[in-house]
Amino acid sequence: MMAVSMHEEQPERAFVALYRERYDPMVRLAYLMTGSQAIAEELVQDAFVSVHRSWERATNPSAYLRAAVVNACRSWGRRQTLERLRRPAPPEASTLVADEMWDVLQTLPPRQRAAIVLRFYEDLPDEEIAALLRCKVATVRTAVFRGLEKLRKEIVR
Amino acid sequence: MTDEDVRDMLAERARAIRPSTDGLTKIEARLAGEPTAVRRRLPMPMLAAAAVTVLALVGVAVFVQRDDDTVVDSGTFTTAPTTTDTTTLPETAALPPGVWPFPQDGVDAGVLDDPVETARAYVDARVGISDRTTVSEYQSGDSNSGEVVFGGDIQTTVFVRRLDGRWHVEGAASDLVTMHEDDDGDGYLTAVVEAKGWLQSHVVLSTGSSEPFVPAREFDAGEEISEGLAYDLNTDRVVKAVRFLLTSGPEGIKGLTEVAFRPPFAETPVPDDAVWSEAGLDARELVTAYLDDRLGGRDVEVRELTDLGGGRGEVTWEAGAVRLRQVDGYWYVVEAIGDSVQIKGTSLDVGYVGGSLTLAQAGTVHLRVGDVTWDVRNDVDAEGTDVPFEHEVPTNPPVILRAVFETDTGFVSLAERVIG
Repeated sequence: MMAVSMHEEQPERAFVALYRERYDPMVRLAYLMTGSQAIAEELVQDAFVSVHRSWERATNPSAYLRAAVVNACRSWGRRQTLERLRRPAPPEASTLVADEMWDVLQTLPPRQRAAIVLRFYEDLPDEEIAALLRCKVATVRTAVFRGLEKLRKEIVR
Repeated sequence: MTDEDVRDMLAERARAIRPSTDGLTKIEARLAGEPTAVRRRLPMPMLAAAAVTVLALVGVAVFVQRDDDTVVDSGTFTTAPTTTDTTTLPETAALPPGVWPFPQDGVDAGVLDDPVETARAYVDARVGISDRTTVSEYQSGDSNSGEVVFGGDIQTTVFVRRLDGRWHVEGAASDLVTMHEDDDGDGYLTAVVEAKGWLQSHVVLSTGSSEPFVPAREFDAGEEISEGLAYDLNTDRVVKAVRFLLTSGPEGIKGLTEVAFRPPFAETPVPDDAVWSEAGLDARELVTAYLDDRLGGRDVEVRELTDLGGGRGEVTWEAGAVRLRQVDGYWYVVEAIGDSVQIKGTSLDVGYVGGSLTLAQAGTVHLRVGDVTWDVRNDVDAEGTDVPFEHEVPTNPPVILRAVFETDTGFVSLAERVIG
């Protein structure tokens, strides 16, 4: 039983069904965009709260949820960038571990990282990625290109 | 490396994630606005007494000073220690916590009471808000920070944070100019101009001066600026805000990106009352890391920061509370209070420590001072049981006593503080 009152039984069931169907995939998506499962779960839970509050206005809750998760991850990424800039970072031990591609992915700017995850994990077309990231299609292509370029450059190095 | 390699790597990483099974419960709790109840094992009067002890030890230290009724000097911190003879607080430098306002910025006091008004005033000061500018509602990130998104003729997201009840701007990020540190993280930064346009950049010091960062000129999309700040991180007790303003396109859209460089916490003396040398900008993350360190990686649930005022805060977890103090914008852990273990009293002699613990049930306490560890056993399964201890320890200050209590029923709790 939901702790909050959703006045009609049907929306409550639908919300729980959405949770059961989309929670795990959204946590995995958020994990790829943040690199932390704990952060990913928090952001996805926030996104579900946002969906719940907008339930009556959301014509496609699943799409709304994904947009909320992507936005939350990008905001988190930007904040992380700010905080890293505010305090010079210690040497990254992770640069020494085996999975180089994953390590380099963590260092990409939030938009490049989001674009790569949405293109290669979610298999979204560029138009849909552009809508999610609120930018032009050409910008998505540039972000993917630059992100891949950095991955290749760092891995070759 | 092919596209398929990237696809395979992401799929493999995602497959390895096993989301928690209590997601719906947490969502319900957030919707209801009711954090899960904290397990309190000691009777309330005892907890109240413990809280008084903590306040008496660490005092009230950091607060924002007002110059007069209308202007807030948001960046001035002072210390007013009320400590025992074993705890002293260091003087802290006057450092603003973000990029705005700096001490030289005159700001109406009421503006900083509201996150959207704070963000609006900041953007107006930096760019100038027009009829075409759109401003979002405040979007909460955690209990004390969030963002305000600007659109229309200005493109930026402003990050705001609340300290001591007043808001300030931590920084701003625009997709038109993105910033990231260089890999070596030594104070160099790289900015990428994402759209063709006229770029102005400045470095503004919290002491009042300002200078261009790179000469203003037309930039093409994709051009990078990679520069080091003229900044001695070891000695400069000043915050430097680096600001980029790009005017782009036929409509003259303005993208604002700004970030503050602060002296690293490692160069700030660790406060004498801190029980852990680590510091963090985010109190909850710091406490999570602290408990991870003290409890050997045990999985615990850590809650949001409660602002106690005066630069002090408390973060509770399922078996206790962690008290924090803020210096130069960074949080430090100054005490852990356990629900089922508390340090009641201590005495120090040369080379020896003694005292008593108050325990709530039967179990074993793992005590530690410096590198010396020993156990104390309690077989009385009752609340309020006093258990004495005495042991040979190094007594060169700071003497930090840590007590990790493992109950016979499988719970763990933690108490820790500076005792001399």
